[in-house]
Amino acid sequence: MSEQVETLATRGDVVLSGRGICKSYGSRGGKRAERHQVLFDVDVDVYAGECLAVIGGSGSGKSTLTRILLGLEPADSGTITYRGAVVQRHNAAARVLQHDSGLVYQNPFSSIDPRWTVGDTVAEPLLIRAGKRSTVLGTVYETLARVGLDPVEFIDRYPMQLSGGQAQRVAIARAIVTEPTVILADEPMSAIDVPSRLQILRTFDLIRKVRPETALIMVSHDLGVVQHIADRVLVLHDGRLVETGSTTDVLEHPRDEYTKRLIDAASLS
Amino acid sequence: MSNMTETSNTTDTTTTLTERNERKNELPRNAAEVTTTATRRRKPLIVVRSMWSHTEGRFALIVMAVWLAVSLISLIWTPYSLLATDGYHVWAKPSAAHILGTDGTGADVLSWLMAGSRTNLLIVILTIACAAAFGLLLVAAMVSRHSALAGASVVAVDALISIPTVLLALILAVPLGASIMVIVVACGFGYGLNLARVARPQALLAARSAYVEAALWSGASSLRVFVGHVLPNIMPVMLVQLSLSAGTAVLAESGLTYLGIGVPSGVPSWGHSLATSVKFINVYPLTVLWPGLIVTVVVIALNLLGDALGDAADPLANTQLRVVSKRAGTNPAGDKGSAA
Repeated sequence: MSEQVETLATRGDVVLSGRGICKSYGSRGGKRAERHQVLFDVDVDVYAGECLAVIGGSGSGKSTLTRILLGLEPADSGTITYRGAVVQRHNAAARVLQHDSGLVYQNPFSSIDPRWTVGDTVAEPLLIRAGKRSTVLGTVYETLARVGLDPVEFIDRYPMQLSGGQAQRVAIARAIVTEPTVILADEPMSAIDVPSRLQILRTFDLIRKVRPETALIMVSHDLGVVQHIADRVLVLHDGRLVETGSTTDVLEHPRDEYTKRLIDAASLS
Repeated sequence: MSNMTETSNTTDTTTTLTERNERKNELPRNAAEVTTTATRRRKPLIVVRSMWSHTEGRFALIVMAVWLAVSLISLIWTPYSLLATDGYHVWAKPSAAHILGTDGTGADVLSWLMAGSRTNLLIVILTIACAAAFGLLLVAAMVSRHSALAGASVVAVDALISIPTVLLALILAVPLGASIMVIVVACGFGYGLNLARVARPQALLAARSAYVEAALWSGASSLRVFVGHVLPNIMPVMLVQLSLSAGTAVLAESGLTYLGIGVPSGVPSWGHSLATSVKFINVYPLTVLWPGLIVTVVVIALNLLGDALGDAADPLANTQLRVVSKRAGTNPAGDKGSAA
């Protein structure tokens, strides 16, 4: 699998890497046999500046893999490295990775506090990092403008005054306001309507254009979105990595039977 | 990937890097600060206005204002001294000299009720503060990410909530005697448990939400998350529960004082006025009616206050708290966005 990765022409250094990642869920203290394994020995590399799409069917382990990669969940076994340093729970590398990354969730309305204004939501990561309200407002303004929201109009709005696309762009603004090196977007377009998806895609395009070194990990089951934005694709099936490669290679010349079925199913829908 | 550049070039809503930098210089940053600061400053005024616009809220505000004013006035003035008694006019009916009449010692009922209002106000404030502090501490433990602490606190609340407030007050009265502290501690403890139990589901929803995960991921401390995210999301439930508790505290003061373990003898309170005159209700019903009426009105007002305040202070319920930019004219998303 790593050989396929090596053949890619355009990429930066590996920023984030996972080797032999295994994960299972089950009742605490339960017997091993009762646990449900969701990831089997998965290897993954994320390069600086690339957009890596993780695709697969429901329950294939896409979200679990990406959450483990960023340290949001612990793996049963395997190694995560960020910029060459092994990431372990609460160690220095984990803190650096946490500091350098941003999160975008599937449902924008459940990922932003309903009782916080847009301005407060976007300012929060900056304020947490010892900023004063008066000093961070300029950055909040700039970030809202970057995601295509007029700051004057939106800064005092509450989430319930936003459409799905606008709310997701607020969530993206919160994720990028600290200028992270790695952004994890877990199905950011699946809970919003089609016109809003286009706006979100444009927003991600612009983010990557403004900060070309930012790596974007996007979990998606929408191959249209993947084709538009991703440089590389990683296909998961029942917790196993079945195929990885450039977006063109994987989507136009799939090697694995499951990938072919996935593409056929997408073309039918 | 090939479409990416084309797409970003054709976008109307996003801007290029150069445009962005140009725009950044043009942005009225001070205007943004003024807008947000002005919104924050206006908020208490908007909340009071919203409460005033509803009959229930207006009634609650008027009663609270009168209660507060009478309590403050009673500190410096009452129609008669509390120690003044008139042996020739015991159980006197309302008159120009004694507007609400006199009690069995010839003391002016109005003066005692005015002085009693400050004691009851103090008891309510201390009880609510105690209940809120204890309840929030329990809520924090119950939604803690440490599963052992969360589990233990849930069990503890379920077990302790079965202890009656009166029983606890009786136990406390053994070492403390009749005291305001007995009421405050017993009620604060009991109401704190109730608050924790009622607020836990909402707190749990907030504590396990994606926005809290994002805040923690950004480096927020647990305290910051609790104060910033969990507390505002349980505030409507909390305000209603605490207002109910405030009303119940007024009733509890009367009940515990009647039992002789509440406000000590000689200290004016509505419960004290009730307790001293209730034996003579068949002969002189008016002396029981006045404190009873005041307690009833105040308890109703406190219950309505919680509802009104909960609705008025919640941006999800009060549209006046949600700013719509004048520049935007109307809200394009309306309030239907949340349904998406």
